[in-house]
Amino acid sequence: MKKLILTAALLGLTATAASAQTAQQDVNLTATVPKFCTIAGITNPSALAYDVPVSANGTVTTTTQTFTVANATCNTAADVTASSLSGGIKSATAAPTNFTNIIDYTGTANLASTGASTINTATVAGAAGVETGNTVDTLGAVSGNLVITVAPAQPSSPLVAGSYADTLRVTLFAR
Amino acid sequence: MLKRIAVGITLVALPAISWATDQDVTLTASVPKYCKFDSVQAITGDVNIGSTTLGLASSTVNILSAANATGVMQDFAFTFNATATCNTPSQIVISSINGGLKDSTPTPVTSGLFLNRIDYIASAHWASAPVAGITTAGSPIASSPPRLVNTAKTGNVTVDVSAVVNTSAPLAAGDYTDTLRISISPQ
Repeated sequence: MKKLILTAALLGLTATAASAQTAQQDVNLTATVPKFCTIAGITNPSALAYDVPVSANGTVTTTTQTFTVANATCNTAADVTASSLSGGIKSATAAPTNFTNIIDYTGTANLASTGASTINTATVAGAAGVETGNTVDTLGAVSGNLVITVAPAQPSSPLVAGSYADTLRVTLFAR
Repeated sequence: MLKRIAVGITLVALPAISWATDQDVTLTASVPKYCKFDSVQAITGDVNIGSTTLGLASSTVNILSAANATGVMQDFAFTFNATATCNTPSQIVISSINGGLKDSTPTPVTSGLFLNRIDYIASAHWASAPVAGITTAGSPIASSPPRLVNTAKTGNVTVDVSAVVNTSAPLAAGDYTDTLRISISPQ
């Protein structure tokens, strides 16, 4: 017996309209600029020098000596600190009683007029080693003159004869 | 006696029975227009480029030395390479989210002159389209002039990036970023 085949298959195919799709590619660019402080464009400038005049009878010239160093730059907030490496201008010759072998001084450092770091070597009696002044925060990147002053003090006791030396160090530290 | 009975037979044509029936199904489809990136390859032509991270939706390119020891801006360059497909005419545009590499938390400046942006030039090449290009200058660039490709296309997308070197002042310290966006749209 033949079969009567009725096929009724309904296939509905529909495609809804889709929105046009844009292709997007992000390229993220990154760079880090390191912090630095430089003086006249370098990190190790040559030392300045000041020979404190002392008269024939041991009188110390107490006039303030000023150094202006141009183009001191820190590209971020920085700490400025003045330090005496010896604690005073000192002679290796021992001082007998009623004499001294130390010329104390006040040194200052001011970067781009952001405030002065000051070291007074007389604050600590004697000159046993490094003495550090206050630290000044520049509060931001700075570029300008670094002004350094040295004001020697007349000792209350006579100075023994000999060679005297110290290093006033101004440190610019990029934070 | 036999009776004769006449019987009339009427022949009637009955409709033929069909053993198969056709049901038509109409099939339709609508292929949407689209563009897509197919792959991203290693950058080429790199000058002063450090690490790179490449991905189909987003990549990162790091400039190795943005500035020297005294903050002077250094040159850099690279070519970004990808492949893409558009099944219809398309257009390419590039844009800069920041308008140059910038620090989102910039270093304050107390005194003196410091740069706080690294500018660059970018030019994109897609199929036969004319170059789409931008030069950053501080303001976000929403879109370069669009460049059109008149047919469906699958092929290379390249973007050349190079620094606009500015040595007029040192760069302020910090982390600088920008996003260069490449968009290919079906037309």
